[in-house]
Amino acid sequence: MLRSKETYEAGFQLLVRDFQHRLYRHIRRVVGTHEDADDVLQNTMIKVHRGIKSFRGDSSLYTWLFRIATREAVSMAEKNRRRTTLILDDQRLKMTDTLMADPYFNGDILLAQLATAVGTLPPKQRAVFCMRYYDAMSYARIAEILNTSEGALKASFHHAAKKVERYILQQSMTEQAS
Amino acid sequence: MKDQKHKSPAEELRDIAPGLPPSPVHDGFTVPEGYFESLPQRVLSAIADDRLRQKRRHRIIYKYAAAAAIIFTLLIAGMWNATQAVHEPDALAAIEWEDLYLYAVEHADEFTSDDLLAIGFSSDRGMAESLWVSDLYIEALLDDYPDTHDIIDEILIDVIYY
Repeated sequence: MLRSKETYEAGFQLLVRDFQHRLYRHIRRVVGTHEDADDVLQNTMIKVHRGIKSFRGDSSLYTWLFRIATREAVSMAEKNRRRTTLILDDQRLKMTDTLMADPYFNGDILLAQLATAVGTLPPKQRAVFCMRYYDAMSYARIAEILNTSEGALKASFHHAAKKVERYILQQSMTEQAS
Repeated sequence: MKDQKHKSPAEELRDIAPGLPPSPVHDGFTVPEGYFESLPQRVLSAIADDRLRQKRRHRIIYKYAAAAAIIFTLLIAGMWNATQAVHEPDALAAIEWEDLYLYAVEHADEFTSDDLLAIGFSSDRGMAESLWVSDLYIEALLDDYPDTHDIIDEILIDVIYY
């Protein structure tokens, strides 16, 4: 459908429908807010539209779409990170509160702490952690998406998991103390 | 012992971060009502807007690339005259850089990109085409230099040091 001019629009709508949930979830976990996730998802689809004619099928469509979405999400997360360079501990606590008050978040305190902890990771590491932890993707698949080695990904996931674990334990201790 | 390569994420987590909860089924993130139903249509509208924006960007960049080409042509002509006819008064050499710049910007609309390629770079058409007609180059310039005057300067630097 995407090859013919007459059916292109319907074909592209179908592609968006097929992948929108998976891409949105992935992007949202990396960027945090719905507004940013919406921007990134739309930019991703614009880039997919620009590149679809030159897509040669060297990788699967799923891998290609995730590659574009990850690049866009990481870029947005890096931009946001530059804006808020110094985050103190009490501000981190507030970040969990902010997330709990977000109209587009309906998880419990543990999910909010988890999302906040993930948000403290560097954006690229965040993307790796989310693909492995939430989506249970294989290292081979993540390596294909990010165009990197499985060894590097394992190291990245290992460090990220340790950091997130440490953060959640610290949060529980702080709450118990107060 | 299970092969390290085939460990599931849950097994791997138990080993490296046992204090971390197992991957939740739901991450807690939600979307506004009707978000996914309307998304495909909004994406198509965004694509249409993007096409228009791209066209506008190209028009702007061609206009200023045109100005840069005129300046460059005048400079080359000036330098050529200076080396070939040292005894004749050189009108171009007497023109201030700012005046050349203004002239080029004001008259940029009068030239098409083809005219420019023919005028400015008849001796090296390939270079001009690869430098200016590349979408990537235009995109990069527009991203880096929101002020169009900076774009002219950047093109000039590229042309001069090419």
